[in-house]
Amino acid sequence: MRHFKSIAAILMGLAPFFAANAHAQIAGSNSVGISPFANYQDSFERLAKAADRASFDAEMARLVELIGTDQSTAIEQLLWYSTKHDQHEKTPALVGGVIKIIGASNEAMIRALVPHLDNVDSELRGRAARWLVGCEDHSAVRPPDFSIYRAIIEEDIRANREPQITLVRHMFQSDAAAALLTMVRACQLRDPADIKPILWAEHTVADLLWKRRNGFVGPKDTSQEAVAELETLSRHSLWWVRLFAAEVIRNIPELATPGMKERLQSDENGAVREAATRKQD
Amino acid sequence: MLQSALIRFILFAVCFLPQPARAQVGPQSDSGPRGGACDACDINCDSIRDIQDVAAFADLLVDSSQPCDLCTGDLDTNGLIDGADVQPFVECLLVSQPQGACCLDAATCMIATESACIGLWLGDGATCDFNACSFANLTAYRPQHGSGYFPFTKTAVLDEDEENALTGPGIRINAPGDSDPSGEDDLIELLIETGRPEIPLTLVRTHTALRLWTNHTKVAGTEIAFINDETPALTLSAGSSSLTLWVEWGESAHGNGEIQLKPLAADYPLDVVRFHTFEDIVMSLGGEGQVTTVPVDPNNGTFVVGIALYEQGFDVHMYDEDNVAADGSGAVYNEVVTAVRDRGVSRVAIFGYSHGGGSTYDLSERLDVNRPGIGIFEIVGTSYADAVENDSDIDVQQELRRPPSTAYHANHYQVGTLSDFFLDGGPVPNSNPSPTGLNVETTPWAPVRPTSPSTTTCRFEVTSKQILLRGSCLEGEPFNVFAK
Repeated sequence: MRHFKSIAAILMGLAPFFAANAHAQIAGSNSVGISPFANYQDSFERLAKAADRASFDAEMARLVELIGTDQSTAIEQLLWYSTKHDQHEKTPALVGGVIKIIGASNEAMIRALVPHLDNVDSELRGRAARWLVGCEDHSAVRPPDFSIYRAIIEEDIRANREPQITLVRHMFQSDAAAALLTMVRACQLRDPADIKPILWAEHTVADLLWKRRNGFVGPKDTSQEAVAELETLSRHSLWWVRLFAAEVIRNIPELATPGMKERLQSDENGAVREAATRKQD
Repeated sequence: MLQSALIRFILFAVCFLPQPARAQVGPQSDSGPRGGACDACDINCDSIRDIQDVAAFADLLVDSSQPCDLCTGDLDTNGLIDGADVQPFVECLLVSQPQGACCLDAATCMIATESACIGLWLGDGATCDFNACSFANLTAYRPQHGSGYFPFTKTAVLDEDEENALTGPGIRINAPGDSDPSGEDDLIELLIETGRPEIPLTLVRTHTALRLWTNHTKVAGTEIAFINDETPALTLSAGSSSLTLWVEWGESAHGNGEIQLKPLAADYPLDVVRFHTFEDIVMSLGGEGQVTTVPVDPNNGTFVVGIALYEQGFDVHMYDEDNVAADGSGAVYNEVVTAVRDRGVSRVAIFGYSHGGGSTYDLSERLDVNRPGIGIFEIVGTSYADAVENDSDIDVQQELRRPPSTAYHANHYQVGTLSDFFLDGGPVPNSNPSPTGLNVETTPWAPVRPTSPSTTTCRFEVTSKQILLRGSCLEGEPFNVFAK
């Protein structure tokens, strides 16, 4: 009986690992979790229930002291709190207010949140992704600023590791062109002969999209050049280049050559397969 | 001599045989409602068969004077007025002729025989009760969204508005090539109700762009064809007194035109609805966590205002602000682009609360940047209520930027309190009230003046089509939030 309990305990202990591993097979990297810290969570709760400005300020002062210089932990704990108190409409304001008061920088937000793109909890993964969008300076007048992720990606490249696949996927889902250019730089490509074909292909596709956006061609018009360049990229040796092709034809299927989508759907890379399979936005 | 003999003969017959109450049905009469047909027995053409016709009949017999109508006096229909007509004439004078309501138009009713009725005869015994001649009605509804009316309730255009080319039923242009992001939803529901299902009805259009369907998604074979701008008799289901049709504006040019409901057998409208094409679109964006519901949450002010505008006839689209991405893209942007490109919309108004205010900025910016590919339009008005930037759910930055290219911007903000964790908007350059909008906490609130059931708790008053919104809850001079 005691032996049985031990096995059960071991299996219970391994459960999160199995769950994390299932996600890792999809995401292509390790999964993480957040353990709620009672002192943080209680403090957030007291802030949420503060009856007056004085008690709010006092609790905030205690929280700032608790956080000290460890903003990453505070941000993770806020992520957990936000998810668990999602039904309260004022939770986003409280969380945003705390982040503002503790002066968390974009750098701190990204360092804290990017690992949770691999979180075993889909709610936390999704929320981390949405908070990251808020750090990327999205605008209609310029591409998002993914340079904030370069340091993280470069660390992996320099250590001969694959970059965090969920981070790469996050960028490509948000803006494939900006993501491609970020990856070209962050992945330390050195030979112009390697860089130029990618840049030219992206430029060709971007040119068509620019012409569409500004009415120089019809909203559904294509160009042979763009189709040809995407076809070439879809056969590239670097998976994140193929991911660009997959993301583009996902939203603009008329740019795919016959059989291209099916080929990307059976790509050796999980992120590419997933992008080629996912529905249009 | 012959004349007096005939008169005596006819007088004898009339005087000593039973008298009809008044005029009678003639031998040519059809049953059911009809207009005034030629009555051979009504010799003097006064629409009544009575003793006055006897002398006139005698005149016809003796001096061959011209009959007052083609069939007059020719009772046996042999083409002659002669002695063979005497007996039928006497008989027709003696036969009872029923009476009923006779409609000259929707508001004018008289009691008459069928043959005497020069309008629409409603049938034997029909009375001229209140609105007897206005026995059928058209009701048009405000526009659909997607597969139904959500996030609005199905809203009928008020009778007093239905012929008004501004506040009446608006209709989206639905020319070939229009692609509706949420599916075909540009047709306007039109309900036809009749108190006399037995009377055939028809619809007349005054503009060829107006098309009729029995199905709101234009399923093949469900269009009702017009012939010379009039439909055939409308077909009601057995036992039914109503019919639902769907009106389409099938041309790309703007305009307005009427759908008239008429009796098939008479030339007067029972009811008229004037459709006008939408040239405006209004986008209403809620705050963080505010989602559209039916019934509306009275605390969701932008949706309350949106509904009030919808009821007044604007093409309003209400959204959770999360449908506007931080770069302005998304479902709301797509809706506006489609409206401009495919439906000829040239004026856009956008307003939002809190993060919806931030999204108002993002949406305006994207629309402005992408103008060359969208078409010609003006952002005629924008409005912030306590606007906060919306780069993410937890963005708490005040939205202090004026929406790009807006012709008129209103800005209202408060000083944040503990109740909303000090979240607030702030002054925005070149806003109304001038110069940076209004910190509402510097101005005492007047009592809320409800203007319609759906605006009882809002801070804005919807006033007219020309002036969209006014800050009516503030003391002092009201101000336009934006004007059409």
